[in-house]
Amino acid sequence: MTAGTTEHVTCLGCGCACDDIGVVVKGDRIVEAHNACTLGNAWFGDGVVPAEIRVDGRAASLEQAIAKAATVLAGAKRPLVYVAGDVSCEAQREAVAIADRLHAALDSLAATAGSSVLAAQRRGRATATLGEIRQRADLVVFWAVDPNDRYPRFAARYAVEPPGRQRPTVVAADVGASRGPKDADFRVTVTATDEVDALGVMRATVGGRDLDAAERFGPAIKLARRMMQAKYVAIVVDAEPSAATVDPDRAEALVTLAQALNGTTRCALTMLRAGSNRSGADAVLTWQTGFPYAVDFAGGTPSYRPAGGEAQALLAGREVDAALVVGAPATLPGPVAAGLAGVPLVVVGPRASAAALRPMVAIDTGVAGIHEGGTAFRMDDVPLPLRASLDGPRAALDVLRGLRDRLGGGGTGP
Amino acid sequence: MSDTIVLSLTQAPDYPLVADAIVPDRFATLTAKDIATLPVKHGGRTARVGEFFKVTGERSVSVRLEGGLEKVEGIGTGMACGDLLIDGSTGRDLGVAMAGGRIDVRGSAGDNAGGARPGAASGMTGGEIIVRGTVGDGVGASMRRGLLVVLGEAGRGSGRGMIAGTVVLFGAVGGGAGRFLKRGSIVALGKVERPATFGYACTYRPPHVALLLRYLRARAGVPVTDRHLAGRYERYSGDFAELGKGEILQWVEE
Amino acid sequence: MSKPTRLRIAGGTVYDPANQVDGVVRDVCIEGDRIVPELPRDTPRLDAGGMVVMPGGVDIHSHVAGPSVNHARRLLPEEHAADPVRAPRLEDGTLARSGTGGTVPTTFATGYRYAGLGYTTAMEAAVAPLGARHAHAELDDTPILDAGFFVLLGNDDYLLRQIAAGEAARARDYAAWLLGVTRGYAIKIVNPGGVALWKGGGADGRRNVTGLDDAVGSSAVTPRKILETLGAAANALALPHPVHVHCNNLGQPGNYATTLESMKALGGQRAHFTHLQFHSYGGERGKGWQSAARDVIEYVNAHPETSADVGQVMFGAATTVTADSPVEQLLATSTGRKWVNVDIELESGCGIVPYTYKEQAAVAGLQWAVGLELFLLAKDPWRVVLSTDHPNGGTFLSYPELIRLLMDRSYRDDRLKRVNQKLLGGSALLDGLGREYTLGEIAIVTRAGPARLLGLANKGHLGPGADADVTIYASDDDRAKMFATPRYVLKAGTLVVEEGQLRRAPAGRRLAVRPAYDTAVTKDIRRFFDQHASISFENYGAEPVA
Repeated sequence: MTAGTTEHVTCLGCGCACDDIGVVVKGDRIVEAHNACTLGNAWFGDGVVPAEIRVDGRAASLEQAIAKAATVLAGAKRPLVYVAGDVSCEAQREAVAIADRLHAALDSLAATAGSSVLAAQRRGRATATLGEIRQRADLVVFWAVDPNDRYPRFAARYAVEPPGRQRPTVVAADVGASRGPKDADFRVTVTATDEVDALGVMRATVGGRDLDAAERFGPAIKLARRMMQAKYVAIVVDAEPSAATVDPDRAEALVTLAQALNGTTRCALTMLRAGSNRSGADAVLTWQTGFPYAVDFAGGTPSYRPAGGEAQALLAGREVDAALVVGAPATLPGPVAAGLAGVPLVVVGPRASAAALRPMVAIDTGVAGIHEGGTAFRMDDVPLPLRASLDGPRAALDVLRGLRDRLGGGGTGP
Repeated sequence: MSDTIVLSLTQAPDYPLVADAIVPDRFATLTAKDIATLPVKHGGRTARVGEFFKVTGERSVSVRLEGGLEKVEGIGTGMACGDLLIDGSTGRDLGVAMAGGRIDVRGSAGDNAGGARPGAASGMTGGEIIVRGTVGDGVGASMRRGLLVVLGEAGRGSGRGMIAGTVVLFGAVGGGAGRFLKRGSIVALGKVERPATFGYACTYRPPHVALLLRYLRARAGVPVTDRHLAGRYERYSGDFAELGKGEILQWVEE
Repeated sequence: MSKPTRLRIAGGTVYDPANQVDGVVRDVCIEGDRIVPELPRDTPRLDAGGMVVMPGGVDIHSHVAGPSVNHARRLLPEEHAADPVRAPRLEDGTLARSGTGGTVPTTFATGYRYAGLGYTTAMEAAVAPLGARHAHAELDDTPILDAGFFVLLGNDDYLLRQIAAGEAARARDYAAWLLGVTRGYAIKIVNPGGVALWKGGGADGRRNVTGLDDAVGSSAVTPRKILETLGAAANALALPHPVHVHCNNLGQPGNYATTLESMKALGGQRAHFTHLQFHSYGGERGKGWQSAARDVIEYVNAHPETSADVGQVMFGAATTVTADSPVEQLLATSTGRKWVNVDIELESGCGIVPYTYKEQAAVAGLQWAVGLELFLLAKDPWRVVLSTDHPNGGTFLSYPELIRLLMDRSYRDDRLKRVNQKLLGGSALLDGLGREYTLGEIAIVTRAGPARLLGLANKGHLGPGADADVTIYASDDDRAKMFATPRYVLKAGTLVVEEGQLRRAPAGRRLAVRPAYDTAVTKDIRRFFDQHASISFENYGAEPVA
């Protein structure tokens, strides 16, 4: 569309996936995104994306590009399919189908929260959809995160400003340099090296096991007691990597603490996830392969290698001899982008032709949620529809279907 | 029928070589040729044992591996019986989910030695692993039964999530040892950093430890000193975030 | 042969109970995707001589798609790694999709394995409306099966508010609206009121309801009231399937009393009670268990408006996945296994714990026996149909073994000898139940019965106009073997299984309802939604958006 406003648009700027955005378009550009935060405004931008198709840097037809992509990928001994950001679940499903067909390694942006995924696979989860926290929580503990930094509307929409209900007590747990929200009702300070111990001491307290823990854990124990008194506790933590190095045991310590609190009261642990529909990739890979990330079809069936099988490790080991990136190259994690340098590369996604990686084949598509509809998942695994508010280049889904058909086989069934 | 089957590395792998088919009990009925055709994964590509190893001997559960195996992963996965001697160092996932038999590594082993498969409730359910060099992270993770001995340094998370069993660590031990363990013993002859959820119980001379150390010295030539045998041990029980029915035994000089 | 426009399945022994055909040698004629009365002599033939011909199987209650199922998949990488599923090589030379199995298989593997058992229709038994869009996406990736899902309503915040306000009509309109926007098939009630209490939290200790008359928030809201309101709504809306009820106190000793009360609360109107086995225990909490299967099944036998599926427990690995989250908290505590709990805003809950039924275990032995008692004491197979509440009591792959237990007394008695009998005092099974199901009765409890209970007029029979879903078995005295590997399976006229091999994997169709309602209700729903929900009203449900 060239002008007009689209309401109830879902934003993929972060994992909050706020779906109350009103996108105003004038003269083929987005001029405004009502309700969007700074991240959201940056994500929508003016909505102008390139619409090129390039093979070896030269303009080509879609037919030529797909033919070349199929040759490169089908000819590879160790292909990698990487699901990057800003594509719909429908496109992600095609990407997995292509990986299956190619007997490729398969990974996605969901790997950025790998340690949380592995902890959940060992111990489970104790969580809730975000609206439930808004409905119920009377004590919200922001553990080593101020959501305003990377999830600007999280607090207002989902956590601490419930409409028609008393504001919950907000606790900021400052862990080393990672501080909780400034406007918390009270704060607890833990050193970075004590973090997992503190969580363990808190769980021992909840479990009623008397432990003459060191003086310095006093505040953590006090917080644990306060949690036990609450009606419904929400613990909010950032599952995405940050500047601070995090103890790999942290995720398991958090999950098990939340589970223990469900013995005496109720507790939900919310793992904040970044945007670009990475949670959709987690869900799609899980239902199609049985594994959320670090999947390998090399043996003809999906296998799981969370330690050493992630794209980052395969690329660092120079195993990969061709790669298909589905999604926006700009969303690639640094180490993955670095590892892809020098690998024969096919990119199907938003701004593919602008990728610094100089792909062998680059096919620009629209951005899911701006130019393309479909489905995306919020950080709490709630599915949301995407709405196109602006006309864009060819849809990623159509390009991927074309590539899958060209690769032959594997195209049967849904 | 030969006494010992020997697999000597003839072709160094360029990529991680997942060799979870190298399991002694599977060799009991196999000829050298059969063994050479067992599948391995080299950089994700399916290959054969014979492409990397020269196999001599047949039909035995006594197996020796020779050569630089640092890139070889998953040796002895799910091993249930037999003897596996690794005359060098090996990669990650050695003896994962091991159920029985013995593994003796002359060199070092990578992460998750004697550990668990992703998501699995338990790691080792029996058998013995001795690593004479160092190990990476998570040695003996989620062990349910068995014995795991490391003479060199151990990485972080040693014996994490143990359900039972024994891990003996002679060298320095990284952080998070024994975290999340329900039952089981970690015997530390080197210095171990305990999680705060372990509590001091007592200092004593646990007879079972002396017995165990004598056994290791006699059977496996582990250099156990008399000071280790005579020494006293501080008992720290934990993990109190879990059941709290396990222990870390810290050797103290006197 | 690609999708046949015409096919004569010739000379098979046909079991088509819905049309009173019980083991008669006759031809079945197919034109396009339908059964037709007759076809010319020269029609292509599929020789079924000496084989058993039945309608395609229909699973009335199974957990195969949606948010809860995917949480369970994500939780179980160890099972998936141990059970890789190769991509079937199809008749056109292409490879279908690979996947993994275990107790909660991937979507493609689910479709292939169901078809491989001769099942062509399945109902996903519990989807929270908020996850409907997700459930449809998974069903789109589940080949062959015609599938629909039941929508969780028994702890729904808006619904409970209408009950509290005595707004029965609005509650009915809400249910109708919700079924429409989620593209659901039937109303599901799980532990009415109990999950709402669990989610409400608090230190007052009330984490679940204990009986039909416990207050849930407002004193006007009780499990009984929820059952009555939704039961009446389903019947007033003339839904093809009535309320699908998972009673309170699942898995608790003594719960049979609650089960009987729930049945009486809905007495005189159609209602389906699911996985009845988990709700038929005598005894008292803390004071031991026993079977109360006889009391429960006698009520069902005497009440033609009441139907049930059994939810048989089969020994081996299972995964409990349910909206009944307070029950999972108990199970997680008692087993120490990993545990997922997800509270779903305004609607429902989700709890998951892996579980293994061991024949040496007393309670598992009792559960196994109670299920078989229900089957063997049921008078009307049309109203007591087969399920394992996959994957809760065991996976759907155990159906052939279950069929053998029902059809082969000597085999059943041998198995019984190996089972822990500590709690089997008073179990009819110990007294020796001689009944053996006939092939005709198996055809009823696995096809004709579920189809009729679901109101699927074109499923579960082979009469003219029926969907051409047909399963052909090579007869075998080992009934487990016979039902595990059908020789041919046709889905909508397409041969999907030939000579026991999956040859084609067409997409399945969606089964959904769209009942009429007074649209005035949507204004009130929107008002509620705008205040309480975390997503926009316009983005709710599973309708395609512009």
